[in-house]
Amino acid sequence: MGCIDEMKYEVLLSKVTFKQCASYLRSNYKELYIVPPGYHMFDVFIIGVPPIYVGVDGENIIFPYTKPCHGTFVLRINSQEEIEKLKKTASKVK
Amino acid sequence: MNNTKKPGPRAILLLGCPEVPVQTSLAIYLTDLLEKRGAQVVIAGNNAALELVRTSDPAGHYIRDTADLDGTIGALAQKHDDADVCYVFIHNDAGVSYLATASALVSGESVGIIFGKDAQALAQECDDLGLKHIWAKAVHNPRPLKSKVRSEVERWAALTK
Repeated sequence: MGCIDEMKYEVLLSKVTFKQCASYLRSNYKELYIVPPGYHMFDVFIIGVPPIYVGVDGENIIFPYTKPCHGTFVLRINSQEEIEKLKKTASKVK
Repeated sequence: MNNTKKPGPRAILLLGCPEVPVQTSLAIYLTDLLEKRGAQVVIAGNNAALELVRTSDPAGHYIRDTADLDGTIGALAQKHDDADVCYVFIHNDAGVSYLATASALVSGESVGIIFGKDAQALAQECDDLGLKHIWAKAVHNPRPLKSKVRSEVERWAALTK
């Protein structure tokens, strides 16, 4: 699993509140999971207010990424490895 | 007779983005209060937040231990670290996310210290989420929060007796 900065990622939402991020993920993805705070993905530990939603779209994983100075981003990264891990360890919502 | 001194309770302070002036002074003030109560304090933050703290205490009279914010969250998530109390400094929405995360990862209490121009709204958000906190609309002058921080430490210290 790589460092996010070194991976090809797409920013879907930028500098939003966590509530906006959760609402976006819940509304836009047919395949959705809940992960606990501190869930390890790529090289980061997910920060957020439960329930923390993570979406899957084909071979892409869509997740919140929170930075202290910039708020929350929603990132999309192609990673079959992370999707498989998510399916094994997270709670499926839909 | 066993003379081994029991280590004091462990306190972790999670600093937010250092753009609001009161954060650094409140972090040092809180550290001093906690250490006087026998706690071992670690201050975690990003590079800028920690450099502000270290520069404000060049001789290390108050600050004993600092740590990278992401590394601290990782250590808590992997159960390599824990705390008896975790204070999370909050002045934006990201801070509330850090408090919610700390509350889920730390076995002791997690308490938000909310300041800045949006303090009241952020405090309401924490109330809605059931997250413990103290708050005051302090931006440049830490005075509105000082007595609340002191009371909070006294409350926590009473619980640990």
